[in-house]
Amino acid sequence: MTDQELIAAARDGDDGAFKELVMRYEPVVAATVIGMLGNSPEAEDIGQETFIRFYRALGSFRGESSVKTYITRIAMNQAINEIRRRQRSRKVFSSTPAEELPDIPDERQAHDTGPDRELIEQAIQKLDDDFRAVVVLRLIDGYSTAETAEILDIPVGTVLSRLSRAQKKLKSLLRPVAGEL
Amino acid sequence: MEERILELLYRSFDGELDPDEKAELDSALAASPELRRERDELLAMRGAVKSSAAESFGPFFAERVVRRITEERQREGGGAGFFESLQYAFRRVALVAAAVAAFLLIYNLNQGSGISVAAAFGAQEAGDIEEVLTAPVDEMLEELL
Repeated sequence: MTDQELIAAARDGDDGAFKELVMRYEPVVAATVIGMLGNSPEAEDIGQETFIRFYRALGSFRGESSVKTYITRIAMNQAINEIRRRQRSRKVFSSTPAEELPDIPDERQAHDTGPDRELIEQAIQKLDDDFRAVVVLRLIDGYSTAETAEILDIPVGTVLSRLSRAQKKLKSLLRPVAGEL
Repeated sequence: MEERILELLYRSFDGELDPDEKAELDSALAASPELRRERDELLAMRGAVKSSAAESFGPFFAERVVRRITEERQREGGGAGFFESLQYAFRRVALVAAAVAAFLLIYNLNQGSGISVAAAFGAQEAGDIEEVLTAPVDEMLEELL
C-alpha cells in the first residue's frame, strides 16, 4: 500500500494501517532523534511523541511534502525541544556545564575498543545543536541540502556553511581514530 | 593547504560547485597528495557517520505507539461519554420538571377565579399571595390535593 492509502485508512480508524506507517518510518525517526539526543532513555519517548503528533495531524496532512520529510520535521522539532528542556533543567538543577560530555577516547583506547558507533555518536553529540542538526539530516538521514534547509527552515547557504564547519569539527574530534574509520 | 580549496572540497560532497569551481578543485586534487588524503579522510568520516545511524527504538516500538494512541483515544472517548450521559440525565430531569410546572400552572389557573400571577401559584385572590408564602406546607398540600 502507498503512504497515501495507509494514511486514508488510518484516518478511518484502521490502527493496522497506522502501525504500518510507524514501521515504515521508524528508521528515519530513530536516526533523527537518536542522532540529536544520543542513545538516551528519552529518545524512545520523543520517537513515540513524534508518531502520536503525526497521528493527530493525519486529518490536516495534505501531502504537500512527503510523509518522510513531514515526520522528520516533527521528529527534529521534538528533539530540539527536548534539548532545550535539558538545557533549562541543567541550568536549574546542576552546575555541570552543557559542554561537559564524555571525552573521545585517546588513540590507545581507540585501538582497544575500535572506532565503533558509540564513538562516532559521542563526537556528534559534542557538536553545537545547530551543527548537529545539519549533520543528522544531511549525513545520517541522507536528505539533500535543499531538503535539509526546508526541514530546518533556514537558507541553503546556511546549511552548507554549518555542514562545512561541523565536518571540520567532527574530523578533529575523530582524528585520533581516523585510521580506523 | 589553501582554505579556499578546502572549502570547495567540503562543498563538493554536497553537489554545490559550479563548473568553474569543480575544474579548480579537480586541478588542485591532481596536484596535491595532501588534498587527496584530506578528501579520502573526509569520505571515510562521512561514511562512518552515515553507518552510525540508529535504525530502531527497539523491538515492538510500533506496537507501543499504537497502544498509546489506543489508550489516548479511549481516554478521550471515555471522557466524552461521561459528559454525554450527564447531559442526557439532566435533560430528562429538566423535561420532567418543566412538565410538572406546566401541569401545576394550568391546574391552578383552572382552579382560580381569574388569570393572574396569584392564581397561577394557587392563591384565590391577588391578596392571598402572602398567605400562600406564609401558610403551613401541610395545608397547602391538602388544598392542592
